[in-house]
Amino acid sequence: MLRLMPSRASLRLQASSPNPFSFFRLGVREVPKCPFCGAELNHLVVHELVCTKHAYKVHSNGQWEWQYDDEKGREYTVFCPECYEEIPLHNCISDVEDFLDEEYIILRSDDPEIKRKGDLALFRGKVYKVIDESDDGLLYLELVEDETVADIIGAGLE
Amino acid sequence: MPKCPFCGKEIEYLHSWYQEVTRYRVSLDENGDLQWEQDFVSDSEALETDVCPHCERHIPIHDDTEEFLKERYVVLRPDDPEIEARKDNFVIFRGRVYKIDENESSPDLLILRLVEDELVADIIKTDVENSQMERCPNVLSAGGR
Repeated sequence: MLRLMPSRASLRLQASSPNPFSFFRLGVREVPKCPFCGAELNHLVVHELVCTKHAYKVHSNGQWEWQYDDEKGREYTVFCPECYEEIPLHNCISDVEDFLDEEYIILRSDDPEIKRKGDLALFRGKVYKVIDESDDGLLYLELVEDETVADIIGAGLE
Repeated sequence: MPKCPFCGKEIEYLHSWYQEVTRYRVSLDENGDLQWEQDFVSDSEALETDVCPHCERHIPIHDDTEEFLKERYVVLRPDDPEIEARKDNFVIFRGRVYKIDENESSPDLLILRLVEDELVADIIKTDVENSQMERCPNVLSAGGR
């Protein structure tokens, strides 16, 4: 049986150098926070795991060669650049942009910045719908895009 | 051409699986577009080597893979029908004499190493065939030799 994913520990590579995108913090764009360490994130670390198949051939004249044969899938894992915990996005690649845009966020249910009422939550002045809640206390929230609806709900949550 | 001890098919080459991890830092640019910056690529790491290209099972090759593909190192089931004769630590397989590597063989798989010295191989072959004849006189003639 092929082990397609290495252990998380083996993927804990060293955090990269200081972030060149820190100008986003100057109020231009709000950034999401890590549900584990609470760090403000203006970027994410994504590991792309590629498995490839190679063929080892020995010819009748005794010469041998390695040939690239096939590629079997890619797997992506998203990590917080600060604490290196895996951020459990539902759909790794397509959710990355929404996560960085704070349209889809993951928070601890006891996050002090959340005001929650049923399936709705207010976070940093924006209204979100709770789309999932995991057993380990994480809330998956999706931004309510309709401004009028958001305003009405938000007023009720304030 | 060697054969797979599991599916019995002839093997022209062996497969190996490798994995490689690429690390990206992903951010949004000032226009809100996603930017992928590759900042690390790991070395390729072998996940599984010596895999039969037909049945995808791992063949336990403890020696050089090249030796296996050249049939100087053979992995077989003990009941393989192409084993022509067996005596003590020696086996005749496809007309060539092999010595059973007892350290690496198991009840399910025989690990055989080719007896390279032709004179020694001929002596063993004659001895093995003679003892086979003594025990079962029809075996060799039934094998078409």
